[in-house]
Amino acid sequence: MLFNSLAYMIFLPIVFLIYWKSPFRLRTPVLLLASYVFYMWWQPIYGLLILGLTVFNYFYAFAVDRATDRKKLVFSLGIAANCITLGYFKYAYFVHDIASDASKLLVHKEIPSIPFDIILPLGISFFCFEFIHYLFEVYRGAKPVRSFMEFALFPAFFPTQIAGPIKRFADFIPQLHTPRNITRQDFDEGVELILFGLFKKVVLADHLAIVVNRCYAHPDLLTGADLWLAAYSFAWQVYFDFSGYTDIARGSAKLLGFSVPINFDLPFLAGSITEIWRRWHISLSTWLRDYLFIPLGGSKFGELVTLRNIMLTMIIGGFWHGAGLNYGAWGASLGVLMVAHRLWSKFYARNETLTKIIKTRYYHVLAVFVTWHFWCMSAVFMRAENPEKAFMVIRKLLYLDRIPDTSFFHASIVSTSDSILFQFLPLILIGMYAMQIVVSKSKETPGIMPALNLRLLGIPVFKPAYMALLLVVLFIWSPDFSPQFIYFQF
Amino acid sequence: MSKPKSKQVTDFLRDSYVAQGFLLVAAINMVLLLINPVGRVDPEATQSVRTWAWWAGKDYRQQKEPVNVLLLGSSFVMNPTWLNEAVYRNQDVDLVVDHRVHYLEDRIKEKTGLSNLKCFNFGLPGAMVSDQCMILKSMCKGDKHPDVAVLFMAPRDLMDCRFNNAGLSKHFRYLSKFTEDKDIASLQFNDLNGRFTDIFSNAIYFKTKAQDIQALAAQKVRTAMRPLVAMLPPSPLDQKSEEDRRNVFKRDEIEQGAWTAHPNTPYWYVDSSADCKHRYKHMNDEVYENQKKWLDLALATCRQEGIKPMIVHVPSSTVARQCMHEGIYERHAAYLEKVAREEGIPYLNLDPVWVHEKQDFTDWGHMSPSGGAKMLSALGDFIAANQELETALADSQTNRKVAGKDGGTL
Repeated sequence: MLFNSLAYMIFLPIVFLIYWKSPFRLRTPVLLLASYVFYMWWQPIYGLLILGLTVFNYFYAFAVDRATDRKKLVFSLGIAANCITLGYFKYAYFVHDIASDASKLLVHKEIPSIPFDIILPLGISFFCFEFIHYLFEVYRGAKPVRSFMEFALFPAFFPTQIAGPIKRFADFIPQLHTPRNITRQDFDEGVELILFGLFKKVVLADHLAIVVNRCYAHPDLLTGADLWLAAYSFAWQVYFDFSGYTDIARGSAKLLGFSVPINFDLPFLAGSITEIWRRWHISLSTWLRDYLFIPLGGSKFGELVTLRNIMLTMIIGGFWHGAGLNYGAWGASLGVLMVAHRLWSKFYARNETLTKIIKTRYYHVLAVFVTWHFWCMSAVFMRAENPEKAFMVIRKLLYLDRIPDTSFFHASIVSTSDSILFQFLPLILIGMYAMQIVVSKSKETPGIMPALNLRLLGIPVFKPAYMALLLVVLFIWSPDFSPQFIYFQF
Repeated sequence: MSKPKSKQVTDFLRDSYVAQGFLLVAAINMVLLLINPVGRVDPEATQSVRTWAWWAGKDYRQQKEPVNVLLLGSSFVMNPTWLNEAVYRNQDVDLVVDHRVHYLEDRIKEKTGLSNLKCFNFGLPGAMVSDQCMILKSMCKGDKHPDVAVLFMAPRDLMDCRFNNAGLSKHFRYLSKFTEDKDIASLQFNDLNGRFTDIFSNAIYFKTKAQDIQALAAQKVRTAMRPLVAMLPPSPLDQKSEEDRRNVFKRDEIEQGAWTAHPNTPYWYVDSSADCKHRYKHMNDEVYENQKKWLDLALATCRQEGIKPMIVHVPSSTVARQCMHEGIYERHAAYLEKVAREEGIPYLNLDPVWVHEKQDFTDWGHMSPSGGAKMLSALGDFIAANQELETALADSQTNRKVAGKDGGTL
């Protein structure tokens, strides 16, 4: 079931009513049942996979907990089982293609094709990571979850099931033990998050996708300025698509009285790639830190090992997003930028004057500007269908490959006759950045905008008007068919 | 002691900004439903998504001379007619903008001696009888009515397990902008989802008028921006490539050149029986009964507009018959015969054995150019031999000559 579907808009209120009307002891079974209905809505057979993995990990965690002599081996086998499941469904075709190409090149022989279809189950990357995290924590000393029902709900919980945020069981399971009632504040915040998430998805991301698709259809015809506009648009498209999804997930969870972690914290205002990665898809970046970077040795074993670990973590993080060389290249490009930033940080830390400059506001603005452009450039690998296209776009972004008789700022896509969206694109992109700065400022200094607290006849005006405006915009500008969320494919 | 229910509700409405926002929208909505400030927007005056129905409708309305024979149906008639046209004319034919059927025109002319005949292919992919009815209701009014409307019907035109609600088809939604006929309202939705969507859309002014508001807003912005955009050089994105055309197709838009038939393209049979099985997996009585009512409405529209209708039973391949749930084919054939007999409508059953499967079909349902030629030859011969239809075409020519529109003088 898709969040941006009519089916979900009917499903959620039904679950909401049944859940809150049920006695406390029945709420977990109600949510579990609803989560399996949600998961099996499209392809019922997928339910068996998540159920099978749940049963396996539930019992296996006890084996890890009880193991004494060969605890590490038992634990490693459990991790391997989850990784093999993920690898089979997600990477079998990719590995086969790579092996086949290598075989053709080296021994001039083709490897036979996989004789059956492998369908990628929705959300597998997310719930496999939750299972791996669970086994890791049990191995590190946490007590396994006793109740199967509660454990089964942990990966299946429908608001976060398909595209996260990736939860931690120590945060989630205790919430099942706390009797509570829906509060007016939870209701308001939950609905607001859902509406705003839908707005981000159907109004912002889906419309920016039109620009991105058109530009990436034939980048050869476009100038560097055009492709910068396309690169900015893609960065915002992915951000609004995924943060919109997360908002709907968090809002849905809130309506059921649950708190799930945030995934984004104004990432495009970050002053370095390392910081942007801490603010972007936070539940994944912290997962990679805790269960990949640190187990690899983290930064404990000298500079070279640390740099190797950063690169490995980012490349694997890239491949987690998709079984394709372009995703690996995207992860690697971020890794290189992080390594460069780490070396630069070490360098300026030794120089007092440089350290002073770096602490100034001007440097911060420059750092945000540069970081944003590097991020947009690395995202080209994620969007381009193949490395050739990615490198062609990057050459043009760097103005190494110019179209004759065009100036530096020649942006020809704004004159296309197709959609008014193209003509307004520079203004839309500036507006989006301005919006982030306003949100950031109002977070730093609450009460900075007194208009937000305006009251009429004792009733606050701003929030109800904002809700009404969101609803009206969604009614008018939501298309009959909205493409699925980008992160579903991951 | 807990508060009384009414007090709880009042407190909730006083404190909840979400509830206040919803109430505000509900109040504005009530007012807008009453005063309807957007009103009726002329579908031709605003930009629409360029779907199959948009292109065919535009071409039909722009015909200077009235169409004599209008072919209605799904891609089962659209495809073979178009493919055969390229072979017959020995030139490329762009289906998106070229709907003339010269092959059929010449066949009828040859058999009847009539001249200046115009046949128009208004087949639309996935169209059901309800869509055929909407074409008649929206496009064939007044001086735009054809002399003869040929309703091509394969079993899937009256029931398709991939289809639920007439009112939710893309063709229907576009064509319904041209008519405010009350007859169609009660037949649009069969199932709960359809009825819910209908109630939801009609009760919310912003939803009902969403496309009109979008189109009007875009038009205003475009007009305001025109002087600025005129100063810029033309954009390379306006040069449509093959990839663009494929991309727009995914968004349900069709571009010129995306569907061009070439005269010498060889066609092979492709096995797509899984699709066939899915479409015919059960009797789907609900949709079938609903589409029968649409057929009644289509025939009533023809009578009202002075159009001579005829029904063609589109050939079903052996594969299609094998894939169908038991009884579908027999029910379909018997029903078409019954309607034709009871309503006194010319009826042509094209299902006999003259179709050579592999040569005449490109898959379980779509015919190849050779199949199309056989289908249209049989149709042309039938029209020429049927006194009622031949008279309708001949009378139309005489009337036009008398009116001085065809080189004649009063």
